[in-house]
Amino acid sequence: MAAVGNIALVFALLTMVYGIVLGVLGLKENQWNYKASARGASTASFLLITAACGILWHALLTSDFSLSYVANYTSTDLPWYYRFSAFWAGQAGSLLLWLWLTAALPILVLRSKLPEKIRFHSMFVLHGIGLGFLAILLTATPPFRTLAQVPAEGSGLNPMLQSLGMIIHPPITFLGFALFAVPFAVVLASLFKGGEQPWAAWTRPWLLAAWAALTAGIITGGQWAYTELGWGGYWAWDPVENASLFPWLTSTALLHTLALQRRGRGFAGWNAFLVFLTFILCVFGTFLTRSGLLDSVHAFSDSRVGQLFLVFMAVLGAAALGALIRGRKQAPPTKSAPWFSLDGSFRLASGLLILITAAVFIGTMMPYFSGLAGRSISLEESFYNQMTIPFWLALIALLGLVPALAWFQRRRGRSVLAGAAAFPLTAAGLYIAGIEEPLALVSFALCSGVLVNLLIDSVQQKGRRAAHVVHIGLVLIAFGITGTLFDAETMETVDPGDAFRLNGYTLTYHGLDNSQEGMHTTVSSTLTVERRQRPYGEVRSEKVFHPSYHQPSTNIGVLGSWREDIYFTLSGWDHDRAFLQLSIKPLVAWIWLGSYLMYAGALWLLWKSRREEMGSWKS
Amino acid sequence: MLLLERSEGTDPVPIAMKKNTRMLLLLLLLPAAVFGALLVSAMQNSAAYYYTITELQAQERPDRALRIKGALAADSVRFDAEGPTIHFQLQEQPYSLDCVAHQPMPDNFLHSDEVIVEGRFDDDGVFQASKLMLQCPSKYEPESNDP
Repeated sequence: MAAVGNIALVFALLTMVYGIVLGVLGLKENQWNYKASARGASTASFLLITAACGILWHALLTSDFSLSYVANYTSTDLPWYYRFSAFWAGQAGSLLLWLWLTAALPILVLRSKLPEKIRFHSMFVLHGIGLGFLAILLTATPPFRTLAQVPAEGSGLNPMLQSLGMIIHPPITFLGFALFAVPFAVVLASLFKGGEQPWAAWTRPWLLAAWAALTAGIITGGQWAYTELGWGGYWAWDPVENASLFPWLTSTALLHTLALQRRGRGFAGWNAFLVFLTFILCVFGTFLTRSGLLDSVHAFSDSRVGQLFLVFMAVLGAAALGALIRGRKQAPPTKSAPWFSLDGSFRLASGLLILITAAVFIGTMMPYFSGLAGRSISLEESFYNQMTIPFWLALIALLGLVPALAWFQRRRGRSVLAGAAAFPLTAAGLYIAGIEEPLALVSFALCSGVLVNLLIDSVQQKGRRAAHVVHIGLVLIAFGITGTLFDAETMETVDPGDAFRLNGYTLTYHGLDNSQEGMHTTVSSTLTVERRQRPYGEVRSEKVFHPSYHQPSTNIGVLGSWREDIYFTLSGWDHDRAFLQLSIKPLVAWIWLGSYLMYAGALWLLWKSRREEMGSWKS
Repeated sequence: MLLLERSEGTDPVPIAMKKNTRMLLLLLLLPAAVFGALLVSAMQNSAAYYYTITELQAQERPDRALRIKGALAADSVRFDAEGPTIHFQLQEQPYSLDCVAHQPMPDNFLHSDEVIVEGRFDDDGVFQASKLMLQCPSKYEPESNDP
């Protein structure tokens, strides 16, 4: 079967080349049968790669350890859903996944309503990207490598990857990365074709889809990291986390200036640049995790794949640069937006997002750049907080001004005063309630004022509702993150029956429970929690001993509410005595709520764009 | 680049244009200045300097935040769940470095060959790690059992 998988990939490579050749011939000689053949080649290459994926999945699910990939990432004691998700546990599989998603794109683009030439040229670019992945896969990390000696048992999936996060987070993130290839291809094709192409309208649905997927990918990654010991909470400014944030930030900036372009406010060149940059940053993120350039909790070095990715990025960059140079004269005369207007605020928001990107980029790459200059310097989390918080707050303040800007333009919408009143009222109220941390006061007050204004604006402006769902999501995330300023932590050594107090809760330890499930032994502790002398709930943390790993894996317990999370880690034990680590993490639930609102808003925008625009899909 | 958009088109009067350009420049310089100032101060507060264990043998141990990479000496790990405290040694042949971290033992700690620590030396010359970075279990490394 492994041989069939390899053959399928080689044939996929050939059909992708064939599709480009026939497409070029078809356009040149205007032969419908060549064009049909090129379209067929796209479908065929997708089916071939699907077959390769199917073979790998089959091998994983049937524990065919003759494949080195299967032996490396699974074992027979693994439940089927982790054997299924082990597909993207390793390098070869995750690249194959990305390739598979990319291979589906030319089919969709060829079926869209774009002009024929753009459709075919976009297909060439997408096939080119697919060929890049195939070349890397086949030369550096073949997924179907077989073992001469078939082991009786595989090495198993690392316990930290045995989590719901592993099933959801990687594929959805890769989906986001993959989808950004379509705007890349369409804009490249448009600029090379010349003339004025309405690519802002063409690419918007794709950008929204990619943005929604990437947002969901980042959220699920954060939720997963929150419950894994040693991953530093939902966000640790780790290089690999930052790598997924770069394209998110640039595409968010892009969506705002893209709106300006569609309203005839210029920015065509800048937007084309951001479209290219966003996709290249997706590849760059993958490069970062493979190159060993930076130290990360998540990264692994494989210099050969790293070098190939560098070449891949250079090719993409050269193509993008060529298109920008070729298309530089096409930019229509600019009618720029006045500063104090809605359009002006879009421009400002975009600029702030680019500044945040720059700050995160400088921080992430600092160990590398400073290493070139002498001693390598790495920047701790505080750097990112200090650098980006002012700009995030400015961004949120700007959101609150949206109704005010409408007022500047049309002398309407005096409701901005409501937000202006909510700001000092919240600050004063919180100060009286005993919160004295200045940053918290500013942030909470800002969030409340902006929220009021966004809600009012949503009621008044029907057309902005979907976007405001995303914006309200951002405000709620900021509100939740501000809660970090009030984190509390305690270590307790307890004997059965002991109770201790933490932030108004009384927690009681009742001893340890042992259980045996299959080949795993689990030691757990369940604490009962009381608040104001009333039962409040239970929180459970456990250590699971896996046969194939000599260190147990820890499952953190979270007892959440809108107010705060009780975050419980069973640190260790000595007979019946246990060592517990407990944290209070205020307002975390608001981060998740805000995140999912953002995602929902993005889906709503996508739905609207599908109905409103010339559309990317034929109905 | 984003803000460098020409605004002449909106206003044909040259003097007003100059005023407009000046305002634009001001609006451009302001965020740039804020950004630059923030960058300098944030970098001073958050920098951790990378040293190798060998380098640390040769000189006075620097009294600032450091980042050190080394191979984890597996038999050196001692975990005291009460505290909790992890005692361990990082090696870079032929030297080794005593480290302490006050945190529960990360799940993948014993599996990691290479550990990166961030922190400072205490008065006894033990490295107090405030942050541990371990190999991620995503295992994106070259496969070990190549044929």
